[in-house]
This record gives sequence, structure tokens and C-alpha cells, in this order.
Amino acid sequence: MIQTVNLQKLFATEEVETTALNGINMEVKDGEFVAIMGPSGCGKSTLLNILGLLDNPSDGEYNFYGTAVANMTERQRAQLRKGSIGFVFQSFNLIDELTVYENVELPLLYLKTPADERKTRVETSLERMGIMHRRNHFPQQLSGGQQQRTAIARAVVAKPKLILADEPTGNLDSKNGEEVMKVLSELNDEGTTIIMVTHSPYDAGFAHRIVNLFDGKVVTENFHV
Amino acid sequence: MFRNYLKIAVRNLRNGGWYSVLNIGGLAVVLAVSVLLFWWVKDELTFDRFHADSDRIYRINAHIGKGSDEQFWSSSPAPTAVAAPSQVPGVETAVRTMGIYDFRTFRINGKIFTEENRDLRYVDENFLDLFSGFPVLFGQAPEPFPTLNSVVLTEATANKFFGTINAVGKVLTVVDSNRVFTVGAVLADLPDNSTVQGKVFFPMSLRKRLFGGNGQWKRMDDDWGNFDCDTYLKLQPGIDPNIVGTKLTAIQAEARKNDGVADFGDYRLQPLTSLHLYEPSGKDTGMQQVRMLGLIALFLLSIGCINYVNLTTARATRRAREVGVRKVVGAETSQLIGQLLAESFLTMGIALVLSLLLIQILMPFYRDITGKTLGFSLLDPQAWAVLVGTLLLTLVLAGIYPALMMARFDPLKSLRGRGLSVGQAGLRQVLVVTQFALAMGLIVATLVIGSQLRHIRERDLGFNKEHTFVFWAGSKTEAYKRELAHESSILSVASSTANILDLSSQTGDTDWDGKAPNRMFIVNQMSISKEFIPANGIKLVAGRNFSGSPADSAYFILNETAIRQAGITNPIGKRFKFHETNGQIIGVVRDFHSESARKDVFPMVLNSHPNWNAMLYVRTTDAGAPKAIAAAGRLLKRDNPNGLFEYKFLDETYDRIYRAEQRTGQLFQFFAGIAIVVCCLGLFGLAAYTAEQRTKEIGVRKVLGASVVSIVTLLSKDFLKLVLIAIVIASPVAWWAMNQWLRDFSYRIDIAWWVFALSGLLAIVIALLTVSFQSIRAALMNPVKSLRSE
Repeated sequence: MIQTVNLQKLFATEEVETTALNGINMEVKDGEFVAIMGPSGCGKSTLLNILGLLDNPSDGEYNFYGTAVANMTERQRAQLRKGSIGFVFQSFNLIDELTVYENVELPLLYLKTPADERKTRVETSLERMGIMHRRNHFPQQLSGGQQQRTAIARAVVAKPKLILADEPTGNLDSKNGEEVMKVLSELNDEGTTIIMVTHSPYDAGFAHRIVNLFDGKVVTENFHV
Repeated sequence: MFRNYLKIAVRNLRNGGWYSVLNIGGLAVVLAVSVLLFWWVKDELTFDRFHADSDRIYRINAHIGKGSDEQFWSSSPAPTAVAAPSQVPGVETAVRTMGIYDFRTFRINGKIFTEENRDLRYVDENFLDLFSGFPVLFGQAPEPFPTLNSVVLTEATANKFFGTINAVGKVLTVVDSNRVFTVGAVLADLPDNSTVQGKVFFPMSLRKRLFGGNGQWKRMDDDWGNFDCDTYLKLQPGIDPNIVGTKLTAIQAEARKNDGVADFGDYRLQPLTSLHLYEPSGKDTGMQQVRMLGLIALFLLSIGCINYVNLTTARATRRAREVGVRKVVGAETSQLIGQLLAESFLTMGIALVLSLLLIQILMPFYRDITGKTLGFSLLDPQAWAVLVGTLLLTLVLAGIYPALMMARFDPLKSLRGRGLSVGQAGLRQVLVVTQFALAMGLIVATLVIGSQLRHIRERDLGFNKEHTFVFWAGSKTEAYKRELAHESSILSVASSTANILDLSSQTGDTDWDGKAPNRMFIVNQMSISKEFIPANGIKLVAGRNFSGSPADSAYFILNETAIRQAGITNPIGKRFKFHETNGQIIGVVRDFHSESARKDVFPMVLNSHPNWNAMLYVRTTDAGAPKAIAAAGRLLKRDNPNGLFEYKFLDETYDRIYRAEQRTGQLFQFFAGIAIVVCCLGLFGLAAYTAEQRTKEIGVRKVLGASVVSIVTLLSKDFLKLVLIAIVIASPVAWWAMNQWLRDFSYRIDIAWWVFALSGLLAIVIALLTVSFQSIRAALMNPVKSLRSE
């Protein structure tokens, strides 16, 4: 379970100070699928980055599966992040110089997974996302949908407890977007916790719960059944 | 994991296109040149170290005279080597070597071979005990000279003389004396990095026999006044060489106290391993060059490394996303550092392999310039040491910073691709300034060396070196002089005891009224014919020339320096004692140079003993030269069909004196060229990067109506500013450094302001050309495209 208490995030340049998050209280239970919505600039991505341990809040508390992480260093966060969180981005963020197979393999390499197990897990992941036949291609040779499925394969290959998706369908056409959402739903059905930032009410419909942000605050929470 | 690093490194290089080409190409060029320079430096620093206990071997140097008379000789009298082991505690072995000037032509199986005098040496019979690093291929190592009539040859000489390396037992005959020698041993050719050189060695006891003493000469081992041996001592471990020197000085003083020259100066021991780099006076001539070229190697390597750092960090923003992604999926900073270092290592490794190819191409040039015969071979483990050392140095200088910088990228910022390059742009500017300052320094050095070389070449030498050739004519000079004078192609003929540009004869045996007691006044000496002064265009500033009559033998002509240093006023007609001749000064000649202009003109005494004069000077014309040479050659062949006719033109001999300086000049041209090319490669890449970074800005400016010229100016201005800063920093440093170099020349130029103006202009023009190519390309881009690409 993850939980935030009065989470604050300020961005300051020399002249201007911007409040991105202003007292976020939020709880996500194991196995939940939560969508975060709101207009551009409301703080969705900032919140997701903090939840994903990519950034620290300026103030407030963040409890990540029993560990207080709000004041951790980048190094400590990286250790905690490794293997426990999978990320899916709008722009896929695949490494152009690596093949599909190698991109998916990357988290396991950093976890120092033995070669045999690595091979099995990467292949299972690729199989599952339906891109096994593309394993030796480079990202530029794939369609957007295939790229995003590669990114999801990479996010799940280490079997993380939590998947964070930042507008996963934002760069896809409706057909490919639908496929990606189905994959995420399936993962959630299998027990993976998912937090997704989206602009699309349709995509948000896949979630159990929708958190609406405005000017860095939670304004409403809707529950699906 | 490492395979993954390499894989991505290879793919990155492949995708890098011309970035990779610039990066690897620039590195390969500087690596090739630096490796060769380091190789040369290593070679220079390891001279003479291949003998066992080389750290305990010393040469006896003599320090003679004081003030303007002070001199340092590398030689010592023959008896020091006899006295040292028996009278000085701690001296283990003494070995002498001595030049041979009385013969050089050998008859072997009916064929005649003439060797250079410098390749012939008398050596003490035990010389292999001390110089144990010279391997004996054939013959008895401890007794290379079984008899007085034994000779020791080097491998190549044995092969040349006898067609086989195993020449032990074979015989050769000295042509002049018909003395027969039997080969006692064959040595491997003496290595390039040995100060002791030679090809044909005769036993010192033979020399002792030949100069066994008579009424006029002392026995060789009793003659403490003749400094004609190079004497090497091996000391027992822990013995202080200074104490040995002091003891030897005392022995010499004691031996000569009856001659009235007890206070000759002193002996100083110089370590064998420092002979190559330090003169007997302790002056670091060779070491200076080692430092200079070592520094240049570092300069060039720095320029190459700066390129690498600049191009890599400029491209780093492109790779930021990759770094971000890796961090997000779990990479630790240390793993990323490892990956980036592995990439640098790979890039540098590829550059190193390319540089090995370049080295092969540069090898003939290297051999020619350094005069070293041993090339750079990968079979030599030391070559690997230099290669790996250079590679690691490059990795440290150029690999670590970009790796640390990139691995520390904030993952969030790098995924966004913003806010990363701000800090490093400043560093890149500093690096570009450093690079251009180094290049500017090399350009200034090249120009200064060039002007100084021109200055000494074109200097008035005090004699006319044009169209004159000199050859050895033996005892027949007077007869030849008369015969050659009839040739229409010959303007004048003169004779003397030596080549005016190769005087090897000095003496301290001088006296005049008013000479301080105990003063060691050393002079150059030469006997000349009455034609010598006018024929060579030497100016008589006082008195008269020799007349050619027998009375000349009691007369002397001195140069201005001799008169000034001796302190003789109104010299004409004054008494002057030279060797055993008590005569008088009849003339004073203007100083003329017989050595490099690095050195001051030396005091000189000219006398006239026509039967000593073995060298003929023939002045001809450009057109008449072939006929004049043929005429001289005919005469020599007529009287000695087996003899050798070797002639040297004075101007060529003079040029050869400056070969070392000319080499330095050529080297600097080469290095400055390389430095500029590599700097430009880096600047070219950096300009492209900047233009790319500012694509959007350029597009917006063009949409708003900016002209191509204004955009080119905008993009080039920043780089020009850096080059200007480099010029300002480099100029005073270069000025100081080049003045240090010039200090060694007695006759030198003042560094003119235009040297800096020209160097600066050159740097600016080159930088401008490099940058403007990219700027113009960026400025000509269609703004619609550049805005869309954002």
C-alpha cells in the first residue's frame, strides 16, 4: 500500500515560484487501478514522478509499502525503485540503440538476474505482449502500438508491485490505445497495482477509481464498481 | 552486462555518423603522434641502461680553467685509468676508449674498405667487463683481444668485410702500415641507445706500443698532459663519485706539479646513464629536448582529449534520454559510469588501432627526423607499455569527466531533455580556449624557430662559404695547389690542417707577456697557407698575412676574440709563445664562425707550417664546380689509385651543423599543423552542435527577417571570442618560453610583435573558416523546417 500525507511540491526559478502540488492526501491499496486526471499543468505528472520515486516532495510524507521515502536521496530511491516499480510513458522512452529484446531485458540486467532466467522472463513478457516476432527489431522499425507494448513488456518483466503509466495512450491511435488499455487491465486483474495519469475519460474508465486534480489539489474522487 | 555496454557503444558509434568520425579521427591522429613522441622520450631516457650495474658506471670529465677560460671536457689523460683502480679506493674497473685518426683504410681479400674515423676506436682489453651489455656473438668474451694484433668487429661490419658474421680468425690489413690484424671477436651491433659507439675496435695496448715514448713524447700511460681518452670507471656499491673525483684531481696535481700546471682544474664523475642527456658541464641540452617533446606530446594529447570531451559532452544532451530511461528501469550511477567508461574505452581503443596504422605510415618520417634506426614494433613489450600508458592517460584525461557528468544526470530532467547542458557549456568554452591557446603556442614556436634558423643561416660567418669544397690531399697539398691553380674552373686554392667548419684541434700551450700564472688559455689551432685568408674572404683587421717564406713559422695570426680574451694591447709585433715556438704576432683577423651560432666564437691561433697542411680548399663557381671536382679527383687518383676522394662543400657542411635545429624546426611545423587540424576538427563538431541547438532560434530569427549574414555573425561571434581569449593568454606564455629557447644561442633574434599578430590572425582565420561552414549551413536552412523540427 502507498500513502501520501499533505504532499507539497514547489518549483522555484530565480524569479518565479510555482506550486505544483499543494497538500495531496492519497492512498492506493494493493491491486488497485487508479487514474489521475485533470487539466494540463494541474500537477498530475509531478505527482506520478513522486509516487514513482523519481522525485522528492518539498514537504509532506510519502509511505511506500511501509517505508518513509520523502527525504531519501536519489541513490536510496533508486535502490528502492529497482524491481518494484515499472514505468510506462506517453513517449515510450525506449532506447533507440537497443532491440526490442534488449530493451525489455534491461531491468533484469540491472537486477543482475541470471542469464537463463532472464531469457525465460523476457520471452514470456514478449510473448504476452504479442511482439515476440519483433524481438530483433529496433524501436524505430515498430509502430507506435508495438513500441508501447514493448515499453509495457519492459515495465512488467521484473514483476513489479506497482506500474505507473503517464498518458500511455497519448501518442497512439484509438485502436492501439484500446489494446494498450486492455493489457494494463489484464495486468491489474492479475494483481498488479496501477496508477495512470490520463487526459482521456475513456481510458480512465478502465480504472477502479479516478482522482481529479486541479491546481495541485485533489478536488474529487470517483469510484467505479 | 559488459557485452551489453559494448553492444550499445558500437551502435552509438555507428549511429553517431560524422560525430564518431571526428571523434575517432582526431583521437587517432593525436594518439599516433603522442605515442611516437612518448616512444622517443622513453628511448632517450633509457640510454646506456642495458649494461649490468649501469648505475655504478661513470665517465671522468675534466673541468679546466676559470671565467672566460672555463671549459668542460669529456676526456681525460690515459694514466687516470691506470691510477684509478690502483690508487683510489672503491674503483672496481677502469676502461678507456680513444679515437683513431692515423688509419681508416683496410684491405680484405684484395678489396679495399674505408671506414669513417668515428667508427674506429682503441679500447682497453677489459672493456667488455664494464660494458657487459654488448653481447659477444663469436669469440672469447673475457678475452676479445687475444694478441696485440687482434681486432673486434661488430656484426654488420664483419658481414660487410667478410660476407659472414662469424669472422673470428679472419684477417684484415691496414693499407698504410700493412699491419695485419686477426678478428678476435664479433659483437652484436652496438644499440642506438648506447652513448659508446664504434664498429671496429683495436686493443689499447697496441696504441700503447705505437706511442711507446721517445725523446719528444712521453709514454702513453705517463702522459698526464694529453686529454685524449674517454675514461669510464665502475665504482663499488655505495662509493661517492665526488670523492673519487677529488682523489683523481689530487693524483693529477701530484703528477704534474713539476710541469707547473698542478692547478689544472678538477675531475668530475658523470654517471653513464646521464651522458646522453647532459653535457660534461652539467648543461641539460638533451634533457631540455626530452622535456620539450614530452610536453608537446602532452599538449597534443590534451588537444585531442579536449576534442573528445567537447564532442562527447555536447552530444551528451542527445543521450540524456537514454541515461534517464536506464535510471528509471533500475541502473545505478556506478553502473552507468561503467557503461560510459566502457564506451570511451572502446572509442579510444578503435582510435588506438587506427593510430597504429598511422604510426606505420609516419615511421619513415620518424626515422628520418630522429635518426633512430629502431622503429616502433608491437613485438617489443616496451611498445605495449607506451601504448597502454597513453591509452590509460587518455581515458583518465578524456573519459572520466563525461562519464561522471552523464551518469549523474537527473533522470527526470534527462527524460524531459531540458535543463542539462547549462553548466557544461561553460566548461566547453574553457576547453576550447585551452585548445586554441596550445595551438597558438605551437604556431608562435614554429614562427620563432623558423626566423631564428633563417637568422643563423644568413648570418655573416666572417668567411665566404660559397662554392668552396675541401678535401684531404695528404702530403701533396703544395704540389696540388700549383697544379690546380692552372684550371680555368678554379678561382683559388688554399690549404690548412683542418676543415674550417670542423676544427678538432685545441691546445692550452700558449704564453705571452702579461699572462697570469696558472691561467689555462685554451685556443683553437690551425696551420694555414698564405692563400687561406684571402681565398676564404677572411678579413685582416690589423697587421699582415703570412708571406709564404720559411720565416712564417715563427709568426702567428690571432682572431679578435683571442686578442681580447688574452688581453693583449697593440698586438702586432708582440711576443707570443705557441707550443715550443717563441715567435710574434703579425696579424689579427676578424672573428669567423667555425661552429654553430649557438656558441660564441672561440679564441683561435693561426700559424704556418705548409708541410702539416693536409686539407685543400678549392674555390670554384656554380658552373665550374663539376670540372673543378673532376680535376681534383684526377690528381688524387693519379697518385693513389686505391685512395679515396671525398670532398665536402663548405655551405653543405655548414647546413649540416644546423641539422638538429632544422629538425626541430620541421618537427614544430608538423606538430603545429597537427594541433591546428585537431583543434579544427573539434571546433567543427562543436559548431555543428551549437547550430543544431539553436535551430529553433535561427528559425524564429529568420521568420522575423534576419539576414543570412547576421545569423552567421551571431553563430561565429561566440567562437571568435574564445579564440581571441586564447590568443591573449597564449601570447605572453609563448613569448617567455621562446625566449628561454633562444637563450641558448649566442646570436639570436628578438621576437617581433608580428609573430604574435601573424599567429593570432592565422588562428582566427582558421577558426572562422571552420565555424562559418556550419554557421552558413544553419543560416541557409529553411525556417519552416527548422521550426517544425522543434
